[in-house]
Amino acid sequence: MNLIETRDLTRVFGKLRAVDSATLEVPAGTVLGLLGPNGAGKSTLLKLLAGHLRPTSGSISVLGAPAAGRAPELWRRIGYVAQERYLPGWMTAAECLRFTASFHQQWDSAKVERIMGRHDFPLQTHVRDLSRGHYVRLQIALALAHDPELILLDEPTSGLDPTGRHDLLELLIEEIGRRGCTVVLSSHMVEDIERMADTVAIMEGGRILTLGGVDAVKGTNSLEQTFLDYVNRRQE
Amino acid sequence: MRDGVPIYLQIVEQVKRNVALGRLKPEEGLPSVRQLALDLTINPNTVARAYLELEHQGVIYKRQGQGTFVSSQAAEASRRERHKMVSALFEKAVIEAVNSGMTGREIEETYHQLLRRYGLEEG
Amino acid sequence: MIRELLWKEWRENRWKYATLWLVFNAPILILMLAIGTLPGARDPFGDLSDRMVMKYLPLTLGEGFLVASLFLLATSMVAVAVFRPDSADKAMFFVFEQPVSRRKYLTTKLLYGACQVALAVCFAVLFAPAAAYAMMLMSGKATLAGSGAMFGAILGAAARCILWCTLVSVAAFLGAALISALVRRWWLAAICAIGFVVLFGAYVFRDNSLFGGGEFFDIVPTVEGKTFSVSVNFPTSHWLTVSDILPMPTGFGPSKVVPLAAGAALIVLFSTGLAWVYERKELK
Repeated sequence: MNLIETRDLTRVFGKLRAVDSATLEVPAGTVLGLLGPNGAGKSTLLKLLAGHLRPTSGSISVLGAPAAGRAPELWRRIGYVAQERYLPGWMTAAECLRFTASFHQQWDSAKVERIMGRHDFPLQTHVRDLSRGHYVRLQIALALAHDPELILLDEPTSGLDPTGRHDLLELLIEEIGRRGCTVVLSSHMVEDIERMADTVAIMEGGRILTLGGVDAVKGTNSLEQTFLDYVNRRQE
Repeated sequence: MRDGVPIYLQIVEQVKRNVALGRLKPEEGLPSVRQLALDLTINPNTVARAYLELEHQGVIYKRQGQGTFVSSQAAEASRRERHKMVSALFEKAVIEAVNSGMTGREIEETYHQLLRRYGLEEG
Repeated sequence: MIRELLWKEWRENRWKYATLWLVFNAPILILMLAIGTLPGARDPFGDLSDRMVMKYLPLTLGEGFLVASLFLLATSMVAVAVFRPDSADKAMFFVFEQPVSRRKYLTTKLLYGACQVALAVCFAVLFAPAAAYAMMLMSGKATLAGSGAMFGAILGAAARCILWCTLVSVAAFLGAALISALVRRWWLAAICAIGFVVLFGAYVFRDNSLFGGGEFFDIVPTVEGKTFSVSVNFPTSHWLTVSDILPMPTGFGPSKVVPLAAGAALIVLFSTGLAWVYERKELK
């Protein structure tokens, strides 16, 4: 069963085709990696999947519905970790959690404890004063606490030191292992995708250059080499 | 992680190698899919796929509710595997020796020296 | 859920709305402070007999006039400030990611704001005459018996003008909110909001407009054969002069349906506009 299906999904900003005819399917319980350089359209595609952007053309079906923007109830089943920072700066981390929790009947406090409780997370600090690592950790907690079926992450490891990156990937792995959720994850770090994804979509200039199982796409090369090949070929 | 080889196959190879080397004994328990995924920091689906492949090859088996274990046939298979591995290494060494200009006699001499050194031959 | 939304509105905007309350009550507070500390300020009021009370107390109805005219600027600026985090900082998307409709969120925000504005208006319009009268009673020879009726009438008039003042203020608040939601840069939004308020105010107070022109605020009414004048001369000690006892105020705006309906229509229009804008917002 496909949790996500898009066909010729396109999003245009003025003259810029941020996402160009993207067609993909994400079966339930799998991890799709979006790999590409900056400006490839990964963020835009994730926002389209989340429902924060409306498509210019093409079709998109997430959890059986057009996109969350139309049906707020879908947000119960989706967790989204944005690249931008728009958690209210004046709230403390604890207040953010409490605020979000009030909207969900399903709320795993133990999981939140696990995610936040290590390394003495400064729960009473205002969001605007949180370091990048702490901020992302809070985002993850907010996104995972209500046990969503679908998790969308936009370059979650960018700006993190290796420990932070490792911790984050571990959190994701725990989540996938325990609940078999579906994940769409974007990164320009090939290694992240190689480790985490079942399927990879290599994107550039808004287009999906190739889409397939990580192993198939790799062939006999490293994923990195494959990625560079595709990008170079495209630019010819 | 090696280039070019799917991660799940690398895991399969690693497990088989460890069984062959005796580091994993028959009936010994393997880490759960989730635990191994955490240890390696990879997608649990990949680990699951590796375990499935190992199961197909008869190297491991699942006991209901108790986890995954190395199968006893694995021991025999591992012996054969071990022999195959050593033969391959032998071949590599011989090729290397030939390339560096050693004669047949010199190769044999070296071989006997090694056996004596490790107490496998009286000398 | 609603509780958290309301809490968010309160926490995020408490100082902004507090500023509004302060601005609304500034005139009477300044007056109280001046009279309390500067002996010279009390001069125009003479010995504060009942006659003086009857002469000067009606001027406190000017608070309602100020609220519905000059203070619309403050109301609109507060609206711009309240809606800025959502549009400029994209803070709204944090709420949009919750399983709550955008309409519900906006409704909560608007109702909270409208209530704040309405309460601030009510309080200020009633507080001005009440505080002034209390001061007069406390410090002079004025008596309840002598001037209580006048006070009652003034309070009644103030209460009647609350409806109109609230409508105008809420309409200005929502109009400025809509501008703030449409315009990303805060300074541009502020300028547009000021422009909007000036145009809005000019139209509201113009004769023959939908809102009945300036008739709503007859602070200085006319009576057959008599004329009244109010003059202000800073900074002399006779800084306020009223020529004669003003007649008991009657007939404030509320009796006219068309202006009230027009005000209500504007409120509905701006709210709908805001709902549409919020529905269409995208994380670009």
